[in-house]
Amino acid sequence: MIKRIALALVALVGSASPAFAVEVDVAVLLVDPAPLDGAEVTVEGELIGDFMRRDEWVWVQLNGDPYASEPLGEGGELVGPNLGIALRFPIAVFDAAAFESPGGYGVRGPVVRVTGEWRYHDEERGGESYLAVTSVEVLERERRFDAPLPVGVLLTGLGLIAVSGLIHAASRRRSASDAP
Amino acid sequence: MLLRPDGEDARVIAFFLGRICYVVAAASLLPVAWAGIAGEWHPFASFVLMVGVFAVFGAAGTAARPRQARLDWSHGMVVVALTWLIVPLIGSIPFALSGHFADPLDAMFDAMSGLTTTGLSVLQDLDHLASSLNFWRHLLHFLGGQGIVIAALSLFAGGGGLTLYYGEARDDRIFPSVISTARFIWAVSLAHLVFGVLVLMVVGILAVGLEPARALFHGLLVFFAAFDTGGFAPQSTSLGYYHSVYFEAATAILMVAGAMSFGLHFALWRRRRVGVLRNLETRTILATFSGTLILGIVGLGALGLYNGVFGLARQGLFHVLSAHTGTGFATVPSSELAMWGGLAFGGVAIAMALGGMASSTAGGVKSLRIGLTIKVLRDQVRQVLLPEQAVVSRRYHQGGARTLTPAVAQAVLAVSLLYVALFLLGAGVGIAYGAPLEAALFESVSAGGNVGLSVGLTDGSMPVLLQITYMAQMWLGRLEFVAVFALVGFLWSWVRGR
Repeated sequence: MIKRIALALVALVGSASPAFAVEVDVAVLLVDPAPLDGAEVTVEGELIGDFMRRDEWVWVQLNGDPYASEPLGEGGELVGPNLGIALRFPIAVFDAAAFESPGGYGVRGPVVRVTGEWRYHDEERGGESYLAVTSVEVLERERRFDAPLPVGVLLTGLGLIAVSGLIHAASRRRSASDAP
Repeated sequence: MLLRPDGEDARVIAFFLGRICYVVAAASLLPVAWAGIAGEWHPFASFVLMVGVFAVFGAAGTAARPRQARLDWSHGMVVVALTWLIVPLIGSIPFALSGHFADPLDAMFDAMSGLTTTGLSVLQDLDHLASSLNFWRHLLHFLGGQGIVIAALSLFAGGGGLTLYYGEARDDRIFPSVISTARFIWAVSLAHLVFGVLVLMVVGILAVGLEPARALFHGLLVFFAAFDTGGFAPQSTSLGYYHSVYFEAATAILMVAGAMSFGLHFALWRRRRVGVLRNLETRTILATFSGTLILGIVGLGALGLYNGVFGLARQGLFHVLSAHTGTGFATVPSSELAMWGGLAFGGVAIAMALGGMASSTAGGVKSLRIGLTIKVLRDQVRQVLLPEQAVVSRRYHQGGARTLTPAVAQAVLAVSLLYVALFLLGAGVGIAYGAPLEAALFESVSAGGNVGLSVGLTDGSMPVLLQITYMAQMWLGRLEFVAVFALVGFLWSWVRGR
């Protein structure tokens, strides 16, 4: 626990977001991405899916939707599709944050506040759009949650399988008795 | 005079539906096992329930015991049309219980979209979805793309295989026996499955940076969606998630393989490459793909969205290919796709409407029909221009020399026109709900052509009537009308027949 807090502090102190960065929602970067091309922006959201390490970078998706604070499996409400953008971290910055796992089923991923350059249709990367992260602040760590086994649903399913077996057996018996 | 179907008709239909339900129940054990191994107990229970419902339908259907277990033409068509309603209905149970859909209709929408290999989705919070449910979405692509009935035919012999086969909009008989053809289709698909998943997994590890287990997961799901030209993706940002040109290239090869007819696969396996290039369908698809690609890239260039040639070519090529093969993968958000106006919009929309090859997993009008329609029109013009006594050749090459008879020409034109009507109908409903013309047309063509690209009209908040319209379009487009019309006719004669 102490190690985790220490790592979070390192990530916080070592990567305070620059004062001149523009604070935006992920939705803005999806709906109207061009005007911010090349600008220093700060966004908040949940790291989700996979931490994809390649070359000197780590790629990960950041979702800036309401599920980032409360996923459906944890009691969140249906509010539409996910809203995600790509982040590209330098490995050193990423490792300093000491993330354990990204979000997914049963895991609300780390919620971060990242600052970096918004690269819209980056020519060097064949027209991809992403945020080239320079600093990260961990707002909340990963959180696991369970979805309980719905016993009633399971028993109904097993009951139906048993019923199908009975129907099948009865049908076969009738066929056998009808045979000349 | 219409003849009212009797109890024996109902028993024959129920018997074959029951058999197919048994096959799907067996296939549904895969997500059950997946959920159990992954420890995803909530979806595990819902999959067990789904298996139970399929099994009861299977047992009740096969217990109907008709006097003769043989299908005639109309029975086969009705069985196919009903199969493609019942399977998504029951297959939507785990979705409906997952909490990721607002209501059962939304769950049914995604199941229908999955089975018809469309790829439009109203699922919410995909990125927190259980892996077993994600697997089931993509397995529906595989079952639908290869053909559920094909699966059933591969497993049990029985009367009426031919009518079931044609009912599922396939007309390539690679071998004299339909069952042998069905088994060949599954053999090709399983060979591609092993090879495709392996390639995607290796690319996932080396070029994308995924951990091996996750690379296998992504590789398997993306394979199902690419080879079956489906379009669902494991994550909400579709293929844009991977940010890898190598992963896109590997996926593109699978999309092309999926859009090829199984007859063409057979010819290539037998190394008959020369004949392949002479085929009207091959030439047509190469021409239409080139044309729509030029339209798309010139259009994107005119919009000035991409500065570099590489970006322009990569994005243009991938999206036109995704549209033409009927896959529906995207590397940009739907909000950005909506900005593709003018020629770029035209290129992608036309590519979606044209679709892949006949007897493939792709949707759309299909290249063979496009090629034949052009030939009919060209022959008509030549007939008018030449002297009255001149005889215009009606021959074309498609797996050998063939003659374009008036009956074939009529059928081709009729189905092509039905597709146009289907696209316009969906667009009309979209416009009635206030969508702009371009967006309404795009989404309608995507649904009717079983593509799955979206400019944002399809989501959890869409009007119910529009949602039902898109579902009907997916169903009609996938079965190429005939089986659905046969079902309507069957029901009509049940009501009005004597």
